[in-house]
Amino acid sequence: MSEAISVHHGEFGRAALYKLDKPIITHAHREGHLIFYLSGAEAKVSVSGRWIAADKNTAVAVSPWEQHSFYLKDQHPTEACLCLVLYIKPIWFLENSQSAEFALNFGRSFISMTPDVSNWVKRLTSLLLDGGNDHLFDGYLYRTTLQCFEQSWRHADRNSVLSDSRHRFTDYRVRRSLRLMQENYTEEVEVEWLAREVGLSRPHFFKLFKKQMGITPNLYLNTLRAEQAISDLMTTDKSVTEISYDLGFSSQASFTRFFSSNVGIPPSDYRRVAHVT
Amino acid sequence: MTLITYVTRVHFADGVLEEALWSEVEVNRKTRPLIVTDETHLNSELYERLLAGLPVRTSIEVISDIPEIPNEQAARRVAETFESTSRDLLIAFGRNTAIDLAKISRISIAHEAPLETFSYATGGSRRIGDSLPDLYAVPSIQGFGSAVSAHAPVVLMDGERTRLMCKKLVPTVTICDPTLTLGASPIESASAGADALGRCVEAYLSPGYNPPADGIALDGLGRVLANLHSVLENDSVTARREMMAASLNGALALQKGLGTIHAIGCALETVVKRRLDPGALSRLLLPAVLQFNADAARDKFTTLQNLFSPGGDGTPASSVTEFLQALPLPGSLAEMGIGEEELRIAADLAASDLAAVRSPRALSSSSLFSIMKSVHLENRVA
Repeated sequence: MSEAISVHHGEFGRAALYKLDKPIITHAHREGHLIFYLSGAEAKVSVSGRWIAADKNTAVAVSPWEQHSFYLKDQHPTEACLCLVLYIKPIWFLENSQSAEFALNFGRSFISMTPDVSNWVKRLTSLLLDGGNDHLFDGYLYRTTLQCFEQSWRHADRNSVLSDSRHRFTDYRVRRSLRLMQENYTEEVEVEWLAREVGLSRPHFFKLFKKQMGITPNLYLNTLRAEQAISDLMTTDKSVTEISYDLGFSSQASFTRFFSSNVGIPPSDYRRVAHVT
Repeated sequence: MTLITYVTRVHFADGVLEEALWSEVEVNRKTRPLIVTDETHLNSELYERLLAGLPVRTSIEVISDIPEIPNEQAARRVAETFESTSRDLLIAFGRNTAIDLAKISRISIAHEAPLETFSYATGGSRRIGDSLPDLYAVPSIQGFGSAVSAHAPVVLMDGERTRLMCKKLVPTVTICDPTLTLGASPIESASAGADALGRCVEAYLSPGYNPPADGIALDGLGRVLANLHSVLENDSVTARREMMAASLNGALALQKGLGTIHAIGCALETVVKRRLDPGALSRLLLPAVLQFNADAARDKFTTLQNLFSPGGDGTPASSVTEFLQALPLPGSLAEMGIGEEELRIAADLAASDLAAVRSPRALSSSSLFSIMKSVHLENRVA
């Protein structure tokens, strides 16, 4: 079973040490993502349909809202993949991006594990494992992300990034549906209903949403629920059962299944190992 | 960087509205914003984008019934709503009026004294305290003039118009998203462009020693010259971005102070008791203002002329006239509904405005009248 060894929340985002022995289904989130292989079974990540290896030589960068899924290279591994996973808040991108055209993107998904990147990954991993130097966390997370961000843009095909990010939020029906989902994410939101509310047929709405957001309406809803679940786990005393019902799940078991498949580990484990620096 | 931190915190990038607003609200732990906008923007598609940029579980309150020129009654109404509904943030969305009203409302929220107490003209700026609530400004194409500036006009309870001016009035965060201006009409686009041009030129000519502001003004001027006509013909995000950058430069360069066109605009609005399009005024008045100042700033005029028409004949005044000629904006002050007698009263008012002090050549009531008179019936500057 996949497990979390350590999770730290900081000013610019969070970092997690995960032991993963199962796939994580296709999902997306508001945060950017960096996935570093540390030891054990090697992995691969599908980022917007392109496969990137997560191994000794390569790390994976995922831009905010880019859909991705995680798999082990070996379908029947004898050991889990130990990896360092960073979730970078959009504000980090907004404060560090060099471009007025695509402020919220990595330049590409493939990150070479150069000596500089490896050093920062080692420091961050040690911090997560040893604890005690929490005041260093934000600085380490910042520097690690900056190394990867700069590298991703040095080798980027800018035209490709531009065409990927150009269409976001341009259709008012998609924008309206985003708001509807934000207002109703704790309910059983049907795509059929959303499409009707914004005046489109279901297939047309689905296609338009996917084209503009890069993910499906269902994935967007899952993201909202996962974000709120993490926020509630970290900032409230509510029990996992209470959080399940507040987010509209019919049982704690279905919430735990949802959380595990989207975040990688069960919610109770997440709460146990995570802390804010 | 897409985060510009001159004067205030400005997010500037295509499509940045939603994530920047979400991030700022979340990072600063705001949960109960009061949105100040006008009816037109409230019912626009852009408003959907604003709402999509607020984190879930955000409780919003909206004030959209706002006057054309911000007044003290409206500011008090905003303050009462802010307090009675326990708000923790102001978000001004759309045009200059909404952003200016939100600015002066911050003072009404933080202070019980009437706004006259804080008037710039009577040295009241220093009375503005440090406990103003945060203000995030999200300008549409009609809002750039106010989005990063430190001043706002206000009509006081007794009907008198004054100006509040203090760096504490600058919005805490400004979000500039060029995609918000896509689809703007030619008139709106021309007005925003002419307004930016006027601000850049006046800021550059202003005699104060401020090299950074001069550089910002010249950069903005170059962007207007390169993109204003193309944005009217082709609604591309690239040209829109350049024009938004020019508007931002024009507003940032106002660090040197407001200029003659601003003084005249305020005076005319006071006399005719309605809002006047600042871009239309700039397009009419800028050539006359340039002609008036020609002998007082010769070196700067050389620099300007090299930008307008490298190696060409003519003067900055004639070049500006030619550049702005084809814009779909009123051709005279009379066409804007302003009578000659109103010019005389406005000239007296403008002459006593501190904004007019920044002119390279000293202004008087009669010179201000002459400037306005030259474009009253037709634009005769050439």
